[in-house]
Amino acid sequence: MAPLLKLIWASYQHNTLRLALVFIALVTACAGLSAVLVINSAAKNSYASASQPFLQQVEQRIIARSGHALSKEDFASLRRLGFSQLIPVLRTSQHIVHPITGGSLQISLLGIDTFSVINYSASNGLKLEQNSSEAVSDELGQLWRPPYASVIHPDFATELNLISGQILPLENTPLLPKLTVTKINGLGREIVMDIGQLQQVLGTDKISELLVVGETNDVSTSELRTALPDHLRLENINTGEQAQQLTGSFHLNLLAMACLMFVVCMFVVMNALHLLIMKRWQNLRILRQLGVSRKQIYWAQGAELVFISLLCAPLGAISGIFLAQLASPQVSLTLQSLFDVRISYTQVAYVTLIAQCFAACILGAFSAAILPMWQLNSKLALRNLNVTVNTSHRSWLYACIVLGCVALGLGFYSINMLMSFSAIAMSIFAGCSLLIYALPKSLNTLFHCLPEQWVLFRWLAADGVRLSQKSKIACCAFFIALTSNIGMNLMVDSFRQATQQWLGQRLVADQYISTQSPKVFTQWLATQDIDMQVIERKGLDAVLLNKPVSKPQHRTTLELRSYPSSNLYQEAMLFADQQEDVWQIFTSGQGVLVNQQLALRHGLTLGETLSFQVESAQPETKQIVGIYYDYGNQSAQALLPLEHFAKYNANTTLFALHFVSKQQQNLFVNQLASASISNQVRSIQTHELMALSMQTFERTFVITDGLNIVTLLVAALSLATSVLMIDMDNRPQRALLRSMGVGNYQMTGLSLIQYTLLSLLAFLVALPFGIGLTWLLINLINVQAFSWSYPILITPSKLFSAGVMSVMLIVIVVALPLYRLSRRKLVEDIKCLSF
Amino acid sequence: MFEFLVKYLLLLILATGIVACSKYSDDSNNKSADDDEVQQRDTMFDSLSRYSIEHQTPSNNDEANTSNKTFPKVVPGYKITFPFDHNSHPEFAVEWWYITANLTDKQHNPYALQWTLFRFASDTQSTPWANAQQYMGHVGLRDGKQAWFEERFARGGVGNAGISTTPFNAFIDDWQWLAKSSQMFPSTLEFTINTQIRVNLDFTADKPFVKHGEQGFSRKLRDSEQASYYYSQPHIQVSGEIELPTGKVEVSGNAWFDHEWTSQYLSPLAQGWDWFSIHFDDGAKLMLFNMRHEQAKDFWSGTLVTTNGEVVHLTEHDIQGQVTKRDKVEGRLLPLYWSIQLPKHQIDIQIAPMQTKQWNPGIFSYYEGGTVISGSHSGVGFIELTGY
Repeated sequence: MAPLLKLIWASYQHNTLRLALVFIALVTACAGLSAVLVINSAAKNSYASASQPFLQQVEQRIIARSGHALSKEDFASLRRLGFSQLIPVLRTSQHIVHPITGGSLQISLLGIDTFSVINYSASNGLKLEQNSSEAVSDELGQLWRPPYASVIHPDFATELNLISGQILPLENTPLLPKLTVTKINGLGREIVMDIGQLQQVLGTDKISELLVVGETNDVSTSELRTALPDHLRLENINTGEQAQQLTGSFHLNLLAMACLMFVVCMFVVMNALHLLIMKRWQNLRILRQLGVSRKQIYWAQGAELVFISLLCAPLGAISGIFLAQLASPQVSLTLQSLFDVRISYTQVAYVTLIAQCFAACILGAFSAAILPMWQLNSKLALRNLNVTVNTSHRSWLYACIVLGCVALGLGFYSINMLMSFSAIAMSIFAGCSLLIYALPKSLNTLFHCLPEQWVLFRWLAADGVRLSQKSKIACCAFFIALTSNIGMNLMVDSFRQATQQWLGQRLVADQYISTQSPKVFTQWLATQDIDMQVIERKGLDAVLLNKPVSKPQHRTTLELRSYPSSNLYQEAMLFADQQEDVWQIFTSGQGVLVNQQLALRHGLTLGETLSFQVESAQPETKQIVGIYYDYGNQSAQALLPLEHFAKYNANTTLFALHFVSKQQQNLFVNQLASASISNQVRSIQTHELMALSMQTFERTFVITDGLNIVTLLVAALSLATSVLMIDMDNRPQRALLRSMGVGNYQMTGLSLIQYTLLSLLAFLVALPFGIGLTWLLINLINVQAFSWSYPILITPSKLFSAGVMSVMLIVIVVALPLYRLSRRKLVEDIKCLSF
Repeated sequence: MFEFLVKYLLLLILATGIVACSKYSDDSNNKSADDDEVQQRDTMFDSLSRYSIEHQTPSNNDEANTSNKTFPKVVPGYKITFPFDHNSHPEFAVEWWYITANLTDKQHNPYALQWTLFRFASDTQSTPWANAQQYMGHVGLRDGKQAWFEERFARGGVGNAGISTTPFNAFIDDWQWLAKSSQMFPSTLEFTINTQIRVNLDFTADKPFVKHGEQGFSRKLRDSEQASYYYSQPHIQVSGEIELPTGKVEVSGNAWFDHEWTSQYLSPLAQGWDWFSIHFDDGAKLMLFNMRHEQAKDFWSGTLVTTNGEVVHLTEHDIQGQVTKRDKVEGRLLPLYWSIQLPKHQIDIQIAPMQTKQWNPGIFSYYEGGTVISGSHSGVGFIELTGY
């Protein structure tokens, strides 16, 4: 075994590129996989611990109802009733001036009542008595005692380029307590300080919410709910299993992309191993002649793979952690904005991660080695390896039809995400089969179509058939990457357009006002001489009495919102489904509009009744007359006419303002800015709101886009390695053509055209499959994950540009090895003719 | 070939998925975090009881603790008046309202009960959220076998802890001592312990408050200015109800109230104190404390209220106290058994704990619990041991 390994070691100096390819592919595969594992695991740990800074197991919070405020008197009253598990918190987003760059930076600030945390820790610690693990930390002490500190997690500090000891100023000059970088449990993407310090800095006495810490059960929740004054409400925070369910599809999506990238990388590994083994084939043949058994050769090759995996796994894992650190801000923001879940920083278990990467590496590398090893086995057994060019691939066509039918069946009868993902996998495999069938068939047709005098082009087509067989694995890898690319791009583009259209249609007012003091605002407005129409939007929370399709034990909170029925607002509504006389029944008070999420989750259709109950009032039923699109909303929502809210103590959720002219709007903005109530209201113009929404949207898909591009790049690399591999078998043909006077650059040009042709054909096959993938993603995955969908909007120009970009990428990447070949001297090219 | 490859790729994806889904949180991380927390526990506040609050220094070792806050000194000659001085004295650094009660149920089973509200003024700044006062509440109950304890914290100015005087009300969250008027008695005491215990007691007292030391100026060390203002009501009659995990019991007995405030922190050389309150069966009351010092002889002081109501200040020359036995509680060797002699008053008693396990395991931990008195006089009482 040792001499064999020595031989392999010695062969490396002649195979640097091939070895480097194996290394790069394995490290890239591990990096992608481990990055996703780290991101997913961090999120899962964070949900499981239901953590907040210094606290774990925070699953509920008390907030003020819309139009009301939560005060410290509310907190004191609840504490005096014995609810000692409440932690007051003030959350705000402020612009700070970066101490190094001087730039403005928007950052979340969190003020927490440290004494309530100490109180909870003391009480919780005592319950465990013997186990003092719940004791409060020293970090907590530094928040409330001079010199006051604010704390930030090291990862977040690194991301923002902040260090301990800095004093951060807000834009309007107040200073935050001195920064301390520390790894406190539950810290997320925020700077945390004592609530008193934050109130002092902001010049406010507001609090945002009261976190409910510790174990909750029906009795304790009911007691707390009963004790709450009318203006406060208890709500669940998306944590634990609930958060995992909400975000499951997102994490699965990431994992699927990482696995895709891993698989594509393994294609590169396979090609590179093939090249490596073929290069050392002569030596191995000599070894066999010297009496070394085939078994020993396989063991040596296996040992080499294990050794390579041992080197690549830690490198890949570390790169993955680095990538995860780069991506985690984006992921956290996405998860927070999409699912309203909180992600805190968690520790990475390095050893486990490296072990996982090693396992994946071994599995991947050995799987990738199967084909090269099989060929080696054939060669060592001195079998005849003549390649028969067979253009009849009917079996692949049958495979395509069968797989396509299975995909359709799975998609049609899909009841869960596993089935949907299986449908996607089957459709992709069907596409691969079709590609393998179609490539030689098309090239053969092309060969027959070309005039006989176009000798070189006819050779190009004929040789293309051989090439397509040799490079079918690389072509499949490219096809998979391309299909995902088209599918994801189309999905994101459809969603973007649908969101834009939806926002544009729904946001008909010129300006929106949200305030906790609606009376103050309306009183102020009455004193203003501005020509405009004010539409008050009301809101209430109700309990849905219709049984959900799944989880019958779960109680669903229903958001009831008022909706104006004027012509303008009727036109602004975007329905997924509606009755003909929707507005007539709606304005009469008999009908209700429900969002798509509510309809899908509870299996509600038009004409059915919606039953709900507002607090202790009588249950009500309304006929569902319209199902509207409500993108991005996780909650079940129903719209009713404004008059319906008169009988309840409903809160004003916002004011929609319609101005007669732009001048009047400007006048309003100026007068509001200078008014004393300006700090009590939040005013936003429609175009700002749209920009903000689209910004959130773009942020959501940046990770997916990144993984997509990497996958495409790796697929191109896979094709490039196959160029090198094919070159070994291509030498006789090349030598013949060269000896017949075909120039070096002509050869390169022809090869480039061949690969462009192959990738164009792959693109043509990928196009319908990409569109199919989009349909599956929108109508199966999205519906199962979020309970809402949107129409597919196909923009030919986008598809065309995606295709051109992908083919160009292939051409550029393949051009590199071809350029290398073009520099080969004639004598080298025709040398093989002497064998 | 391709099917073969597809088969292996599917296997690979499946295997990778399984590996990826496996949980890889490191238990060791949690363990080390716990250890850190244990270490950090005592650094936030030093171990604290009524002794150790006094023992705290206003500016700890924190170099940036630049408070210039000055507190008024405790000086002899201050006239404690009622009900004025039942109220909080926020200008002083530390203060406490301390109730200990020795109760029995109808079957004569003993119960020892503690309710305490500590206040301490810190060098923190007032904010819209809170002022510079902090409150800590301790409640404990012992039934001869088991011990329950809970600790609460709150800040002044928030509204969930404090003292008000019309009527007198001392509270932290739902632990409340509420009188009917500005006078402390009659009053009621309500509190819960970890949702397991619910206590509802009525207090009455028909005898005057007792001022310790020199008319309420209680010196804490020999030849030292370290002192507090200190008065008690040892004659509280208690009746009421305790809801235990096993059911409700009606109880009655005697309680002792202490109110003490000061700004003079003890010397760092002071090691701790041993404090005793005793209800003799003949109606006499006795309070003793022994301040232990690293470099000096123990300093004993106390007050005897005789059966006819005479208040006698006891100096260290009047008191002879020895530890007769030590027992291990929560890993600490504590002097739980004492022999006390007051030769001038023909008192020669032995103090034994009502039960050994009476440790208050809070962030500020100490030993506090009921005692049984035997010897020349019999009775019941309370013991507090700090600094061990």
